[in-house]
Amino acid sequence: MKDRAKYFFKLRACLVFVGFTLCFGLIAVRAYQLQVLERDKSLELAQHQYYYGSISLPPHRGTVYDAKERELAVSIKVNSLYAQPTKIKNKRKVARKLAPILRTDVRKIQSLLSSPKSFVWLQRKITPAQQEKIEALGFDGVGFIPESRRFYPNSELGSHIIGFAGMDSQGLEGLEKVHDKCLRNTDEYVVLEKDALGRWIYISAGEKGFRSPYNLHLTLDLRVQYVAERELRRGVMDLKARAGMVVVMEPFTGKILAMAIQPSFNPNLFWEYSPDRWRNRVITDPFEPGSLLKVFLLAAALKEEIAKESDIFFCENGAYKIGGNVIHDIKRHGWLSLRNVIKFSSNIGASKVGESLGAERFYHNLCAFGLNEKTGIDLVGEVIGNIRPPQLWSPVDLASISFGQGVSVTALQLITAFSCIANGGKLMRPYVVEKITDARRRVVVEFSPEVRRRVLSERSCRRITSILTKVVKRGGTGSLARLPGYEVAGKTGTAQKADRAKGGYSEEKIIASFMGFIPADDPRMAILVVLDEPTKSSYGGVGAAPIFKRIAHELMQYMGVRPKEGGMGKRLNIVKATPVRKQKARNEKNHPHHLMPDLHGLSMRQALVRLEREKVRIRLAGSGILEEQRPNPGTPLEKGAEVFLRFAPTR
Amino acid sequence: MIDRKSWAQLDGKLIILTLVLMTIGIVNLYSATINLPGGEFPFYQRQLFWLGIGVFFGLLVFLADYRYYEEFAYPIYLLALLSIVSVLIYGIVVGGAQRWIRIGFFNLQPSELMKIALILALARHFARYEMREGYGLRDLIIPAVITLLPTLLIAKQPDLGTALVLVFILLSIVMFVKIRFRSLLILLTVVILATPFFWVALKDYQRSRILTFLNPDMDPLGAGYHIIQSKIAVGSGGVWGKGYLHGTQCKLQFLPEHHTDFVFAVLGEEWGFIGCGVVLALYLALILWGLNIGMKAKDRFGTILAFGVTAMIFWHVIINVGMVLGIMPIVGLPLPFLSYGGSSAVVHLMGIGLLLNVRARRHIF
Repeated sequence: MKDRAKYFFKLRACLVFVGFTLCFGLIAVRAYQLQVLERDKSLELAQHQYYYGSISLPPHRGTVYDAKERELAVSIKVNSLYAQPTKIKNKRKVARKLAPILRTDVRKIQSLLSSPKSFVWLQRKITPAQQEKIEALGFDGVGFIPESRRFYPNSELGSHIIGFAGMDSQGLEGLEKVHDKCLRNTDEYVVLEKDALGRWIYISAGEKGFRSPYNLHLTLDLRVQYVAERELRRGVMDLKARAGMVVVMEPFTGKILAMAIQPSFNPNLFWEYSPDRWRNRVITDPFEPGSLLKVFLLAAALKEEIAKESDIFFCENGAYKIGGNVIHDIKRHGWLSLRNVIKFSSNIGASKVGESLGAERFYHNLCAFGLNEKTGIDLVGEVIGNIRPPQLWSPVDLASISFGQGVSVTALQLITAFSCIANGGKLMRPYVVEKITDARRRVVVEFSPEVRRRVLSERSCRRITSILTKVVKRGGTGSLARLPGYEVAGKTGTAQKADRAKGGYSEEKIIASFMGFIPADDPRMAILVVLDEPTKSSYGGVGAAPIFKRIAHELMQYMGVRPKEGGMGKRLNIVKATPVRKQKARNEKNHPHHLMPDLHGLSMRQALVRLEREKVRIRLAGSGILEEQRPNPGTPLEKGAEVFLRFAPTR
Repeated sequence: MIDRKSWAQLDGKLIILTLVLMTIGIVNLYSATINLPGGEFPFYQRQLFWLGIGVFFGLLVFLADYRYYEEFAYPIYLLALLSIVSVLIYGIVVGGAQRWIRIGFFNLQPSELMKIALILALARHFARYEMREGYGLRDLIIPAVITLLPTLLIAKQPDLGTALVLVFILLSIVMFVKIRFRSLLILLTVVILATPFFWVALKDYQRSRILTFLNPDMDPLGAGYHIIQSKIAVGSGGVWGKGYLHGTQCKLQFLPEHHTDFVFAVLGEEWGFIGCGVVLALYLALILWGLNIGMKAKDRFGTILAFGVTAMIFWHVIINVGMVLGIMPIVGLPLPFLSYGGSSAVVHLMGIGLLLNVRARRHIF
């Protein structure tokens, strides 16, 4: 009996043993099912929960530097406002409170908040003041995510070349567009993780497949650009011109040192200007060059050995009848040497030179100078002007083309062709990007000067140059461009604009221009000044030449080109000094002294906002809160002065 | 009653198993609570303190010959019952439940102690009244009363998990000491018939827990939240896990209570199926060894006592892990040695102390 009981006891114990083990087995099978068989499902669910997909954020963009490593375009962090509509209960109230702060319509916000999405942007890139106000409201379900915003510390300066980037950090115009892929990093998105309380945890996705944005280093020199823009603006205002442009090129390399265009725009607020303002007229707007084209007529005549400098042409005493048309000179000339045809810019003389050159040869020479092809500059939107084939030229056409009417070219084509004469006969490809570097400043691509072709012999160039220097001498049309101590080679241009309404040429509407290089014997820069419809002093020699002179004067000093001995006559010195003083006085009148504000403790953005109106160049270093500033608070801020701001993280 | 020999009879295997589980518990708790604000001391340090207290009490329990416990089983049971009653009167309310009583510097959960007291009382009862032919329903009235009295009081706190464990302990012991087959059938029928009444007696949240267990997607952000989150956490661990300290679900606090009742989910997420398997194997080893101790015990009281303690640990593990894996409804029950919590640690280590006690005195006559 007892044995039997013992046997059953053992049996029960064994059953319990097996039962417990089976239960554990069941649990293990369940774990296997969850963790091995259904793992992907769980993983997906898990990711769904803690990733909010990937909110792609505007990529951070690289910095654009000028030739001297001064910042032209930088990216700064700003906050954007988002909402999680599902978490907002009283949508109406939230919308009503937010709308005035965001300066938008209540209904617009309410419709955003009513969307079934779990994430919507309410407003991108808001100001710190707006953020403070919204934070003070303390609504659940609205928050901020830092985004990258493009900032152009020099405002208008070089804006037509640099262009700008839009809200999503995409390059829209200029170099920002051309080099968009280089400047933006690859797919920046913030991996947003969400914890159970619905709080966002940002994890910058910086590792996989991520490339830091590249930086652009331009040939543009901020100082040159500044001088060009300042003088152009002044000239345009003085002469009440409709528009104007200045291009400064380094003749031997084709580097663009400056491209100033009036009217200009502030790329930080590009949307406030009509798209028409964003256009880089230097490459997009062909115009009739007028007498500027005589330079290339001269070059063709010398090259084709039609005439020598001293050969004389009869200038018909101011009126020359070809077919049914009469060509006029401004001043009456009798016999003029080829040299003087250029010096006095005689249209009749030019027509005669053109006649002896012939349409065919003239056309081919113009083409050789690249005036009928794109220059190949590394900017978008370049167009070419219009030079009809010579078969279509009537004798009148040939005559008028000889003094630059009836053809059109862009400013860039002109200055490039002109540089060819300055540098000894090589036609260069103009360019604005010197090199591209990566985040560690290692060079990724470097661009070097590119000779398109040789157009003239060096000797021909010297001969042309020597004639062009006469233009700027006393008595020449470009004498106002004369710069004591420097030899200037140049040519004035005055073109009548075609009058589309009436047909034919307008009497009042002209394009006044001057192009020149300096110093003539070893040109450091070629400068083209074009004024569109100046109302006063309608001639290139009067309107554009002084602008050239002022720019050249300042830039020669900036580049350290010393004036030649003896050139600085006493009399001339006085003449030179007067306008400079005037100019200073004017500047002071227009811009009363601003004082450097105290920026300590401000964020980078706040500091930049404070300095927005100052015409200073801002250099930034570090990130966080301002720790060091130069100059000190209270120092008068001069136009164009450099302000250095260093930021450091708090704590 | 305390002799030197008993020290030499300490069961090395059981101690090592327990220590390994406690170590895993601390390591896992460290990860689970790394993001939780823990006050003056981090959670794992506090748990270390509680485990120390538990080991102390476990050794205390071990030192006295278990036969003395048979003598004092009922007074101990009455004391525990009294403390549960006092909880209902003086207890402090935490999270809607009145389970704790403040003693000096810590909060005691008397319902935990009741588990041990009940095992002692039942062991004594069944040891004294042995039925060769098995127990009939009438014989089970006294054990049922002994069990249901604290069970109802605890269910009223409410602490459904502990109440359930008490009933399971009773049922396990009854099955183990032999119940008549007929009685078993009747009992089962009664339980099935009584289910609707239990249903009515349950609180709303308890009802919804069971409903959501059956269909978690019914209310994914409400009552079903725990189950779904827990399954996601464990499931996303995969075979090898996401790596220690690399779990996301628990770290991001999707999973509430992940340092107490759902601590196994942290383990599952970070160590994967392999980690779960190892820990489950350790528990199984502990439980089977506990059964073995019961089988080899010198007397009937020792056998039932050891079995009761083993059953207690077994049900805790099965219910807790089953709940984390979504095959049991959610009842608040800690995982022995792994969950954060003082009372649970102390009670389970006292249980281990009892097993060691029975084991050490198996040869003494």
